[in-house]
Amino acid sequence: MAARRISWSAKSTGGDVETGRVGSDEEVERRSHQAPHVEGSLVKYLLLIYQNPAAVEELPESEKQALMAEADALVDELTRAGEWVGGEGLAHPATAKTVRVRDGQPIVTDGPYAEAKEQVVGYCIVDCDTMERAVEIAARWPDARLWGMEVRPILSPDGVEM
Amino acid sequence: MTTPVGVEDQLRQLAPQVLATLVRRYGGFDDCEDAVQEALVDAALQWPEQGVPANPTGWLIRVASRRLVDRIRSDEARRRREWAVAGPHAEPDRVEPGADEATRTSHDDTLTLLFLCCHPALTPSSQLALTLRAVGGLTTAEIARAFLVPEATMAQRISRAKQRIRAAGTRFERPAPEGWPARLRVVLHVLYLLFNEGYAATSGPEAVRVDLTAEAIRLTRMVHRLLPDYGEVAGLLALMLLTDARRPARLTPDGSLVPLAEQDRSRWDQQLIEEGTALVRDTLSRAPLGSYQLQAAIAAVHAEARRAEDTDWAQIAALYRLLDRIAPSPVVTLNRAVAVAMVDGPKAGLDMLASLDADERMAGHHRLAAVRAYLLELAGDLRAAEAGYREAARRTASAPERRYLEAQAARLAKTTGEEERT
Repeated sequence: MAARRISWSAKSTGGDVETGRVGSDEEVERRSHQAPHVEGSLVKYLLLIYQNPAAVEELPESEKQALMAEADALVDELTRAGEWVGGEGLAHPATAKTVRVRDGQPIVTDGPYAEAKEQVVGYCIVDCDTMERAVEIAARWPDARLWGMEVRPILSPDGVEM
Repeated sequence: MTTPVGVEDQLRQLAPQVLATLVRRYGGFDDCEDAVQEALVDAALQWPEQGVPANPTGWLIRVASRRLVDRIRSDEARRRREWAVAGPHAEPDRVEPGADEATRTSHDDTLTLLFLCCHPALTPSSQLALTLRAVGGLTTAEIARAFLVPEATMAQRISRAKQRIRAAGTRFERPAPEGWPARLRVVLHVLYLLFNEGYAATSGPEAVRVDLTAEAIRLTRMVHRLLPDYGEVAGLLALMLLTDARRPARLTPDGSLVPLAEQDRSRWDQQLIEEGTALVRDTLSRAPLGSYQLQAAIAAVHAEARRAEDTDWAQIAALYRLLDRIAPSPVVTLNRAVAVAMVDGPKAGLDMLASLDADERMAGHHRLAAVRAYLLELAGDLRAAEAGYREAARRTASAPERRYLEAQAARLAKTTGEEERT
């Protein structure tokens, strides 16, 4: 085996480094590829839409319609871009049931899991290149202005050994 | 008569030639690409039953041309719009395809096609998708399954990519010479991402999920054949072959990740290792140095070690130092820190990691936490190592990586627990 041993760095330490073509045209690549994502893996993101249901009820109908239209337009845009995977709105939190099993017995209570002012009222799943892009999408969702959006990477079944 | 699998492979090889011929003749990359897809589907259905035609390329060109005519007739308004942009080369129905067409469409066309699909105006995910379809000859459904997204999402992505190319006013021709190196770098990066996507796949039998690794290697081989004197093309191909060689050893039967140091090296593919090693050795001896060549050289040094403890870490550290000079990135620094730790001790590696905490691309990344944990463990600080593995497990968006990192943390927790009891 020793005869086959390769001395990689012997040649590599030569002047080639300085004259090599690497680095000559990095503009294009940096713009499209050296974005903050470190690995090439494409991740899907769950965008959780939060609202304060009490505040929503106070909104005039026209404003509610405008918010929905704005969200619809965004969905349409994401669909055309090939980033939209799916999503749905949820019925009012008042219709929610919370289920816990204790000592083998299911305990079902009315209402959402957490008693918070702001509740999940819908979700979308997007498939985009970076977390930054997912955040950008979330920021354009109208609910982000009024309440908030939560961006969560979806666990991928793929992975690379260390 | 060939088996269906043979037909599929054949079709994928012919796809770029057929598409290039159509675009060259009729213009309108967008419609031509759709027409070729339809012709490929026709062939995939007909050839296994009726046999492969004597001139497969001519057959595909003929059928694709007919499909193109159908498309155009069915949408006259769209035709006028697109022809105005792409330039009316010829009316599809007035040209009878020549049998020797394929020989006239030189290999240059395939490269031109690759440059087009890896157009800088596209996002990386669009470049990947379009390359797979137009150059790789895969169907939208296959690409969608490979990336684990719905077919509709992938169809939209490809359609948008084609619109963007049209909007950019790109003609079907090679980029100007001065733009060549930059564009080739994008092409290579797309192929590299494609390979990584495939390599990371741990789920889905091949019948369900197209092997993107094989596809990336096939396309890179093609580029290497066309540009044999480009060191970075050879370097990338070598890197893929040497990485792919480890694939049989990287997962346990239950799908858990096996780290490089613990892989059963007898299961590494020696043929791939020999080919990759020869390729990178040859290119390093004559081409200007580049980052893919260096990464391939590093992979080759790993590959030549029969056991993990035989690894020539000094060589690897030297190669990473070079890589850090010509193509600095936080990932390079991260990997270099491991090599430095193996040569000069864990403290030296940990010192090197410190610089990454300030790098917003890397701070908070699970790989940084995982490497730090590994080096802390080598340094004997098991408690900090355990915390590091837990931190890394929290940070990764990969289920198998999380399982692996949690297992490492649990292993250390057990060790420190036992120490305390004794």
